[in-house]
Amino acid sequence: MRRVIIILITTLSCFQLYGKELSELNHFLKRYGNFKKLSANFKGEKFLKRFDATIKSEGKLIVNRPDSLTWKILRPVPTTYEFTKNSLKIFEDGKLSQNLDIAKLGPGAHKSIGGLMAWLKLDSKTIEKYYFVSRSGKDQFSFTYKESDPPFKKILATLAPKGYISKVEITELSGDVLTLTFERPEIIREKI
Amino acid sequence: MKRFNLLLSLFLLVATIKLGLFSSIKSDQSIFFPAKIFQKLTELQKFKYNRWNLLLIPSTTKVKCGRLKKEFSGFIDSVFCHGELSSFGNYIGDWSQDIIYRQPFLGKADLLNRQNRSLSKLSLPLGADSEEIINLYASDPLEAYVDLIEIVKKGNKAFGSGFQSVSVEGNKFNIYPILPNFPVKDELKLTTLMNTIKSSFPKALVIGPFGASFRNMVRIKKDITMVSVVGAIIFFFYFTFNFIKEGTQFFRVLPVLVNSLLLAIIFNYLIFGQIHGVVLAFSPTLIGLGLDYAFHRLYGHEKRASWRANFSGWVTSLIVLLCLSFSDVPFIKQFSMLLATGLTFSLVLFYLELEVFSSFTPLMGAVKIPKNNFFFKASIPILILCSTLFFFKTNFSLSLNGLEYVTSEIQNTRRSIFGQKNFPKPTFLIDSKKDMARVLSRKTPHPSISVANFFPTQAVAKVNLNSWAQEFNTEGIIQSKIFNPYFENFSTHLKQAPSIELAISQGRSYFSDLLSKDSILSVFFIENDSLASFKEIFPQSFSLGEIADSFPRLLKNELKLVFPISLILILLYLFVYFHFSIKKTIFSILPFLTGLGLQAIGVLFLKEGASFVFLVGTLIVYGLSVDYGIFAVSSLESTKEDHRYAELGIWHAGISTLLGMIPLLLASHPVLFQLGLSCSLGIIGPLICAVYGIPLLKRYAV
Repeated sequence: MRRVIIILITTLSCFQLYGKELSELNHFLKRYGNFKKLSANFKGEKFLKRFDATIKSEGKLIVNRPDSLTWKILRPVPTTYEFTKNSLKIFEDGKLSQNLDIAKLGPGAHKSIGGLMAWLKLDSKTIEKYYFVSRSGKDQFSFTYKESDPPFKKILATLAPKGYISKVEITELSGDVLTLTFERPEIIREKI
Repeated sequence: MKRFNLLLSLFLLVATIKLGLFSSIKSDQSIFFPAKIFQKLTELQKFKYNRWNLLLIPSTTKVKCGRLKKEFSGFIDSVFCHGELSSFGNYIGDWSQDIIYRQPFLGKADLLNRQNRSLSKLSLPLGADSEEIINLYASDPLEAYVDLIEIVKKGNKAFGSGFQSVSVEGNKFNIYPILPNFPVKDELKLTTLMNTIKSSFPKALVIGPFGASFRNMVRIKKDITMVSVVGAIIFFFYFTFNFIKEGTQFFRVLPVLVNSLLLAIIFNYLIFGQIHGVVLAFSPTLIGLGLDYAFHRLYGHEKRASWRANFSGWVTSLIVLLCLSFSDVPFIKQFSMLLATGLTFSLVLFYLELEVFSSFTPLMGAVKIPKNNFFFKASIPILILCSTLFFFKTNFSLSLNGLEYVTSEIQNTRRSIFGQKNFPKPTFLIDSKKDMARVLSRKTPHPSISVANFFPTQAVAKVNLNSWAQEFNTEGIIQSKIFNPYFENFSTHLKQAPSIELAISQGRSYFSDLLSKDSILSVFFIENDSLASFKEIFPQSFSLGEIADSFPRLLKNELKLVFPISLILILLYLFVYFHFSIKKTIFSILPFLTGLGLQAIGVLFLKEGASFVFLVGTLIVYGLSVDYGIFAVSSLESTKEDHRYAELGIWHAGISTLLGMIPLLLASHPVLFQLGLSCSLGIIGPLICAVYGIPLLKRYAV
């Protein structure tokens, strides 16, 4: 009987934790429900641990659901990365320089791109599949990769008072930290 | 006499210890390659390029590149994980030193633009691989490494799309090319590396020269142990059985056999300067064969007739073995020399033991031969008819594959990796270091890896260097401290003469795969259609496939000579021995034909097919089985009692030879197994024919 009670309590606790996690995620994505297209300007600062240097960039993130994501760097030099479900196109100075089949990039790169896409698409089901979500401040949320051998160490995201994501801090395995500050996004929602 | 044999045994044992013979037993694969082929392979092995092996780890095992590098750091120069760019760390550092010789300075604006583009790319959050991308772009604002890495990837085979993982028998493996830092012949390091791999990743596979060498080395060692132990057990029981049946007389043969074997081993060691495990595995066979002479005499109640027949058996065996000892394949040469010398020592020592130093009482044949066996008698004509199958219906593979021990898992893995349509097949060209200028200026439309990919001719390098010297100015160009370290030495470089010799003398890592002490390796990836035209321009080029193809050609030429020469010489000898009687000559080769029939049937059941090793076994059996023919046919004219003793001699000789071959059937190495199978089948047939068939021909022979 004691064992049954322990099992019941443990199971209920798991549901409770899961429920809490789910509600955190839903709160985090409150502003991004059923959007069709999202675009936001960003300013980036990447701290390169090895060189003890910080490089700055500016650009635009465009997410077209379900499977398209564009990472457009405008400064220092225009470079665009277009991710779809299966391919990665790289444009340099407006010209297509590489068209890569993601499946053939090797397990490391494949996983990195998968992890990046999952998060940046801001889809609760996809994020839930890949990440544990927890609150680390009033409007700050922490995302850690569920599987072993993660592509990133940690992702920290901060919500602006109006509920949209204003800052994302990605700590890479190498110790490099990319801090992206987003402007208020333009969101086109699905017609219901 | 007992004292003589014991003293000789003692002397021979001391000699083997002094020579360090048993501690220097070889187990590598060099014994299987003819000198010409081995020379080519040795020439290739001078270059690190040919040390690349593929380490295959089941994809279910989580592996971090850092772990691989750490665990194998003492044995491996490089390991490439999932094509990670950081794997090129050593190369990138060295490439950057010579960038100004390889690339012209295209102007400040261009350099600035490239640098900024590299910086832009760094802002992409790419996760685990981004560190490598940073390494790459940060190292080279000109992005020149991308092309070079592509070249190296092509050369290292497993890279590029489709080769980073492979599916074998439903199991997926990730591929990690590894470059051991020692030559393949270093058995101790090879064993330590492979054991380290096995202990860290029990289900890992290693494909490549190191993997193949290790597998064969281990297999040969295991087979030698197994053959020796099984051989010893079989002969222990055999001698005990005969001791019980025939008495102490039987034990007189033991020291003679040991001495003959030791003498043969020492003799061969002195001739060839080494003794190989594969050759040594034929020791039980030699004991079995040597016993033939003892049995023929111990059961032969006519001294002259017994030794005459023994001598003839020795001559026919020697004809075949001496013909084979001229082979270009060291294994065939050494193994036939061991048997030839062993049989000679056996004959001489048995003669001394039984006739010169002491006398003996002939054995009375307590062991009975099963008589009037209808099945055996009926099978003889059928088997003789089947022998025609051997010539017309049996295909023998003459390829090098017959010499390699390979598991089905490795075979399937190789097929999955190398059998892919777009897998680059390398063709090698080796030039003298004196011809460096010619190698650097060599141009072909085919993809290739050579020093020319990494360093231009001196004239081009000079032009490139001048362009940097005139326009390069660190101030204002280098925007970020990321790039600064790579330009710090530029001013020093600018003052240097742009020579590849200088780069080599400074030990650039990227040359190391392609340069040996005195020669340069260039590797070309040629499509099958262009191979002929490429060979016209570079006739001295060669591929591993060509080396492998030259082996069957060489072997075919040898066998074409050895077969007819042995056949004719033995037939001539028999013709003379039987006083020009055609009938008796034909009768005496019937045992061989019976054995050949059995071999032809045996080949049909060989799953992997028969290799040329089986054919070599047939040839040896030809020399040995005529021996039984001579005894059987010679005894047809003897009295009934003498004929019975002759039959007993043949029976015991055949059984002992067979017992000497049986341990080889348990070996997994194809060379030992196929030779054992060929000889065993080839001996059973003659034994049946000599004991049950030849006596039926008495009325035709007399």
